[in-house]
Amino acid sequence: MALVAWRAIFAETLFKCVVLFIAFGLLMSLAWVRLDAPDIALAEAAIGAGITGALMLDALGHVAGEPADRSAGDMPLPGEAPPPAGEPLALVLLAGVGGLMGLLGLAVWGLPEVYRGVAEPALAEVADHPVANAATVVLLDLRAYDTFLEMAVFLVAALGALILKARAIREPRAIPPAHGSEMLHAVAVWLAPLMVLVAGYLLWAGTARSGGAFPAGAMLGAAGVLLFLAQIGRGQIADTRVMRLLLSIGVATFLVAGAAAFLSDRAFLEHAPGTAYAMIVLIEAMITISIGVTLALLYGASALDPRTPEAEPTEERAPS
Amino acid sequence: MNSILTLFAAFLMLNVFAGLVRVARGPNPPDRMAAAQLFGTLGVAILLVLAKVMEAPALVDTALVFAILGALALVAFVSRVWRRIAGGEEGSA
Repeated sequence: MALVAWRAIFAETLFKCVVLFIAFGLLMSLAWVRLDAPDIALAEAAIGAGITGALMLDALGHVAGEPADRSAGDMPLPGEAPPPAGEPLALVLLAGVGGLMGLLGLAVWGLPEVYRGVAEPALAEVADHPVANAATVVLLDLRAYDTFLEMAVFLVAALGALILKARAIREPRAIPPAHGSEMLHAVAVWLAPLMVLVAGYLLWAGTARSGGAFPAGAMLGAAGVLLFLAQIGRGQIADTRVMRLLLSIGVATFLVAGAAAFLSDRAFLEHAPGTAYAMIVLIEAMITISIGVTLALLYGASALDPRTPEAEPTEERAPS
Repeated sequence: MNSILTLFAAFLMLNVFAGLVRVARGPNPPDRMAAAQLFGTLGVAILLVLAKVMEAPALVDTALVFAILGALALVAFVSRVWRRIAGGEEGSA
């Protein structure tokens, strides 16, 4: 597996790297299964092996002159000027990250010698929680704060994609529009609803066993990606108000839940007694939507640009 | 029964390695992509066998995810990468 990982980074062609990355996802997922961590195996299968592979293949389609050598991957992104002030910035960032790591190291150093860990109290909490799946309980109740911040990261990523999309107007070599093949259309028409169905199933399964918002969101995003590829619907993603609402609904739900907890004298994101199950299902459903839309957007933003190389996408920009 | 199933799983893992050889040797992108598809199918098979061996029905869900998302990478390959390579001047990677 280490060999596959090594090859996935240093193979001769980028395409080989991507295929090896997909293989690595499979092996990783199986490794998690053998380690008795089906939740992580599921997430790895959905995100690592599934949608990331498709995203990378799409990115590969955008990198011009790929076959010659892997140095093709180092060429600047379309529409991106070589950053003149990049290196000092990188140094500052590096120093910042280094400092942060140092602080973390100090914090670890300062931990009491006999650190019992949080696993035992957490498992005790999980035992009499209305939601049966331990991973879901930890992610959405005990450590809901982490998940909340993860959703914020997702939102930032989506914003980044939107900004890049707005800026990348020129594309040196546009991909010819994928004219619809009937096979592709049929596959998409059959598979996309199935993906949405499975996303719902995974979401529901997350309350009892492996599943939950992240694999479900990946599945939803996969359905979106498939629709882009088959050019069903508008074949592109529009930066509309609805889209923005869907993007941010996960974070928004968390915020509302947190604020409600404050108002009734509980800690941030501490669910009221008796409502934990309902709250978790609600939040999970909302972050599933946000994750799915974000992933589809990350894909759709790149899918859109080459097809409208000259036109400034003004009509899609809602005034912000 | 379980030992037979474990043997099955081991055999399927051997197939994964065979696929890796195909990825390494190529020679063309479709060959490598077909190997990637094989990984997806093998993943489904291995997970189903393991679900039985380890008595963990949740693994069936993971197999389901592999089965459904396997097609996505192929679609992305055909419509994004292969179109470009085949349409362009270079024929192989």
